[in-house]
Amino acid sequence: MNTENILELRGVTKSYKDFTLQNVSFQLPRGSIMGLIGANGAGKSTTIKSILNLVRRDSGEIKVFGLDNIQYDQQIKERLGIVFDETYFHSILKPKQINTFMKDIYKSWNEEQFLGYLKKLKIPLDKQIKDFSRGMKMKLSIAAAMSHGADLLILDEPTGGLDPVIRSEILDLFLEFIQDENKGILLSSHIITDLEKIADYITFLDDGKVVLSESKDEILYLYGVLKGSLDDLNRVDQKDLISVHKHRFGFEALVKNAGRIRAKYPGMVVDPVNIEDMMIFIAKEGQE
Amino acid sequence: MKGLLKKDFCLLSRYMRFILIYLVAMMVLFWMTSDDAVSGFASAMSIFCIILPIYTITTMSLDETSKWDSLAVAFPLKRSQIVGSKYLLAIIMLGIGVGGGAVCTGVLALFQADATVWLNLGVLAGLLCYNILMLSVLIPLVFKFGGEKSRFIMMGVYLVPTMLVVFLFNRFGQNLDFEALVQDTRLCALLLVGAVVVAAAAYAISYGISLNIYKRKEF
Repeated sequence: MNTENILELRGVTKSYKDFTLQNVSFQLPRGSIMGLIGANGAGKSTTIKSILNLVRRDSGEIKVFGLDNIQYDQQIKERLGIVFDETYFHSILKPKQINTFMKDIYKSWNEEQFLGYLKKLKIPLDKQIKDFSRGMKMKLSIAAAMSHGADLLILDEPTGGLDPVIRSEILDLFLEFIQDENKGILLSSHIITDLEKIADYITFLDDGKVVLSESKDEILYLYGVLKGSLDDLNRVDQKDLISVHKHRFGFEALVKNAGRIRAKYPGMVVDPVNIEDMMIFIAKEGQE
Repeated sequence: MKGLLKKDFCLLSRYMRFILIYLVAMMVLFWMTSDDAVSGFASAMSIFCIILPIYTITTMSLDETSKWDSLAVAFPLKRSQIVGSKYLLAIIMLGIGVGGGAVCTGVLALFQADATVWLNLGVLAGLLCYNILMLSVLIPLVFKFGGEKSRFIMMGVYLVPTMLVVFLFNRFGQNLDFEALVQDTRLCALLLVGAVVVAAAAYAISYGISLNIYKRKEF
């Protein structure tokens, strides 16, 4: 596997009674931010949990920093910063207590850095977490994740439910983190506008499968929405269509290589697409 | 494991005031109702020896409520360390109760010539073994069924053996000459050593069972 990739998944499969993560593969190059998107229940959290060994995958390979994530579990986690969608620190704890025990959990815990982040983000040292707002709890989790020399941040919906001001503050922290080109961020989020601001790569999961995993700029440049009548749909080569949405007056279809499609079907319109539209397109495939 | 123990002591620090008030109240109660101060104190510490290690279960409930395990498993910690920290915490809490009780019993006895020090110390040692046995059953059940059901599990684990002992005593123990038994120091020492060996073995087996349960868990 490519050592330029800080994270690699190959053929990862995990089955539950009513859901299966199927053959998930993607790579996160060093120095990049990857947005992991998908509807609720698409498999984003299961993918993250597989990377963290919170769940046991049925098959496939995961390498973090070029190392197998099961065989080198502790070694990898020493360099991972984790943020979940809510803080899992006990609500009766205070940030200064968190500092006390995190020193003995991470070999490279940097107390000065942690306290510095708390001061910068205006998190009080001596207040119980249960008295924090949601934004403060998230900032505390992020401060803890970034205070032990982590090379890879894995974030599962860290900005959900936060106001734009706090989200902007948090995104700035991520951009600061990624200044080091040896680091990486995997960020699962529903807030596509945040990903459009900071992500270099987008991996889109739908119903447990990777629909696409490409650079954000390529997605915005290459993909488009082909529009036409229902008669036009019969003339179009179905292999050119990634996802089709029919309605009473015609159809809209997600296509790749928008320039080529425009040339191939001159009578039809090909509009640019943003990531959110693309996500909705793929999620609503087949619906009329 | 040190970090996990520190975390648990941070959690328990808010209960410390209550524990101390409870201890003082128990000591006063037993001192007022016992034949001598040393016995009264030892009786209070006996209750303490049962209550203190149960706070390990409290930390497990708190962990479950805050979904701490999802974070702990994502830290550079082995699952064996996460499980081991609970067993170590229980022993530390038990040690505080038994050790503190033994030291204070000994100190008190300096001021009371006819104090039954060795008997009380023997009772504390017996309680140590009894509690280790109870924890050996309790901790894997809490790992398996969770902190929410821990109260019911605790009631079952402590109540059933106690009722069994009471039943057996009422059935067979009425005719036993306990005073003679207590005087036989060799027999008492043998019983105590046996109890320690059984308790230690049970604790080790219990750790293995808990680790097996925890390793299979997905978060």
